[in-house]
Amino acid sequence: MEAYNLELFAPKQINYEVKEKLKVIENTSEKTSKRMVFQFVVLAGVVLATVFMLIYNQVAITEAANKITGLNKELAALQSDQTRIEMQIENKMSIKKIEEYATEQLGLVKLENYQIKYVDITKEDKIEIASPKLDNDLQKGFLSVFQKFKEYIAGN
Amino acid sequence: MAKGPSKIMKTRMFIILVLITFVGFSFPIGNLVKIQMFESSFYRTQAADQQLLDIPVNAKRGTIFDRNLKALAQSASVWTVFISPKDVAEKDKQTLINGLSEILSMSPEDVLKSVNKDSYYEIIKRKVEKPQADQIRDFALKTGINAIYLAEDSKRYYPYGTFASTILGFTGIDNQGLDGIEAYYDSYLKGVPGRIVSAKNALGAYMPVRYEKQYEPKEGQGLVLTIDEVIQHFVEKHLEIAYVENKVKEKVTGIVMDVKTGEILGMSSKPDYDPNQPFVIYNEDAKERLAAVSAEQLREQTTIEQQKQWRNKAISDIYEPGSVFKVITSSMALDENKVEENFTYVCTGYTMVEGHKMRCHKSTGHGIQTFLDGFKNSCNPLFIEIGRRVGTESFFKYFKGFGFTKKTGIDLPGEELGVFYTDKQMGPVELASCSFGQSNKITPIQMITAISATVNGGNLMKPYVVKQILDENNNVIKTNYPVKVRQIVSEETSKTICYFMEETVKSGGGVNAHIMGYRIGGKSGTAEKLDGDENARIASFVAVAPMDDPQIAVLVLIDEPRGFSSYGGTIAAPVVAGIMSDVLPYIGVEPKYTAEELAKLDVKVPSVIDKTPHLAQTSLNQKGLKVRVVGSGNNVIKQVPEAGQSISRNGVVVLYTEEKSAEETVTVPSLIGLSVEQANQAATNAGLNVKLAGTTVGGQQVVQKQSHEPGQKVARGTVITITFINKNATD
Repeated sequence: MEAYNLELFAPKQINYEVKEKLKVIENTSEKTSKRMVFQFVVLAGVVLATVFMLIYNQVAITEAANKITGLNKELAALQSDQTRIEMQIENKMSIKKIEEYATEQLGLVKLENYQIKYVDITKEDKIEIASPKLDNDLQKGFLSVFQKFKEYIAGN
Repeated sequence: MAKGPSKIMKTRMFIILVLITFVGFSFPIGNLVKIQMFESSFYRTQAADQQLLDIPVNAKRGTIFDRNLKALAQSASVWTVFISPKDVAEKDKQTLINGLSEILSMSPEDVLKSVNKDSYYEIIKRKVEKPQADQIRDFALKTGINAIYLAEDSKRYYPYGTFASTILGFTGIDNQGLDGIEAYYDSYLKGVPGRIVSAKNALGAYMPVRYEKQYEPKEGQGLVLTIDEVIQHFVEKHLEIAYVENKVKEKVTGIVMDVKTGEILGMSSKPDYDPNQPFVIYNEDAKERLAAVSAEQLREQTTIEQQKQWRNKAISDIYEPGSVFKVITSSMALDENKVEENFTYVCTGYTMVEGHKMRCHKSTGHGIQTFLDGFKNSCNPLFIEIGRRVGTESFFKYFKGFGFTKKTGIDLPGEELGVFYTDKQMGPVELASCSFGQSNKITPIQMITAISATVNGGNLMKPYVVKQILDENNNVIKTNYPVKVRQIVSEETSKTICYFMEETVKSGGGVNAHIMGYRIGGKSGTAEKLDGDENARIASFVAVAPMDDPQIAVLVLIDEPRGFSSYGGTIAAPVVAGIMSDVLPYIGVEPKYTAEELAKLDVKVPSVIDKTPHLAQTSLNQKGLKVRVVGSGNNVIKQVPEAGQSISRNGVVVLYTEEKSAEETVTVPSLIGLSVEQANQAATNAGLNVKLAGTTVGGQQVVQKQSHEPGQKVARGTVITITFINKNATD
């Protein structure tokens, strides 16, 4: 017989009982189908709305483009008409027609030489004597004095 | 027990299947490879042709401006009206015919012809403008007739009609340039057409919503000409008068050129045409010629007359220049120092050259002349001698140097080259006749270009008509600058020529080109048409001004005048004077009168109504006018001429002082052909005043025309304007 029962000192193995946890399954089949439908409807709505917006966008762009084209055509036509009318006006305002109207209807005549008064501005010869260089000498003298004064002040 | 096919059998069957499949599909696969890889471009083109509709969009043609940016030719959109006769319902036919014929001003029969055609496309009318196009649209909407269509097109407008027609030219039905600047610069003016590419259905109908792609057209470039609208008007006005007054059989041509740059400021020929309707014969004489031909010849003759009126005679017609060419001969002689300072020549009326008698226009001869005298008198024998001294070789060298052996290169279509003797072909007789301007034929543009070279310091300039090219926003993208071809004579020679020409106008054969206050130089010419009627002549005159610093040259040519004279100095010089008198003030050249000319200036009659006769007389005497008082009243109640009118100094103002004497009338006498003194005396005797017009220098002036018809009853003292020419200014 052994002194100690070593089995008593051996770590005890604790046997855990694994209890199977029971999953509680709720009865959600009805809720799920409703949500799915809702999601589907929303998704479909979004898709439809997007498609509709895209189509509407294209239609609006096309309509606007057509309108712009139409207005541009109208503008071009009106500009052409403006050119046509301007040409008709120019035809009536040609130099030839203006001269004919001025001479035949208004009785105007070309400028006559008597209508211009000629003034003789030529003058007789004259002699001008140059004045003495007084100013220059005065200026030089003043500068010279000023220069000397500066030198004096500077101590040179 | 039998088993299924063995592995070998299966393999063999598989191979055979593959081979059969390969062989069977090889042909279509090979075809596909051929079509896709090697012939793809061909089939792509075919598919495009079948599936796509390509509609061209016309580009707007560029505008042509004068040098001051006045539009001379411009395009605008118009429409072509067409119908689809097969789509016109029977019940709508009459409505359609009546509507279209009324709106488009066409005969119903013409519209009916189109409506009855068996087609989908019949043009009713082209170039329909917006008001009518709108009416057509409204008509189609109102009646519900869908078979009427409008297609956009373009129309060229020339707002001033015949103005500058021979320079501008005209465009065709497809807006292509056919003549003049329109043709020469067509590649710049026409632009690049755009396109609308769209799908079409099986019936060929346009499907604009799908697959449409637009390629915008690029507008044509504009042109700025060297032509000045105002100067062009002056040239045309005076040419029209000359054409009528001289009963011209062929044509009159005029050119105004800037002598320093070669720019053409004005160029015209009469008769001409309206480029808005280029195929319509404009000239009355041409219409008469057409009326006289048979129906079989009408078409051919019409084409001939059309070509004649379109032709720019200033560059396309060659002529013998006559004595105007003596300016060139003189330049040669002076530049080569062939004429000594004390040169004299005796003209007896003719000279002999190799047994040929060559006459002077003055059959009695000019007598002893210096070189200047000979130039002023335009003496043929003297110039034959000058030509002999120059010699054949030098003559041809200068002839070539002045540009007569080549086209000038002006930027207009249809320029012709003259016909001339080369140095190898020229013998003494040919040299003699060429020296005074016969035998060689040149164009007017060559003549004026050479004359300009003789007066501008000796520089031969290239003439041109287009100054700038503009983009569609009227920004300048290209400028044409003056081109100096060569220096042909020295400046010294040029100065001498200027002096000679000025003296010719002062007191030589060019006196009829004289204008008071202006220094003008000139030379006349009267050439025989050696290959035409022996009596036919071409009268011409060239002038340059102002002579202290020449700026412009004017050349006028009158081909076969049938009026009172055919001499250049007599009939062409006054035309040039008229052009110069308008152009010089316009370009800023002011008149500078000498003391002698100042004394000859007209006086404006002041008002002396309500003044006493004595006071009125004093007032009028102070102006240099004489007075005649009619009646014995205390105040002047009427005066003739009226206040504000101009009369010459020493003219007579008639003062009426009583009512009963205010209706005194006199009969206008005929003054035609009288000298200045005779005309003045005759007018004074008749109780009339005279105002002088035309040339007043040089002596030997005679009245060419008077403002009031002979026999007309007018108030005593009325001012009659009498125009003088110098009858000695022949050539």
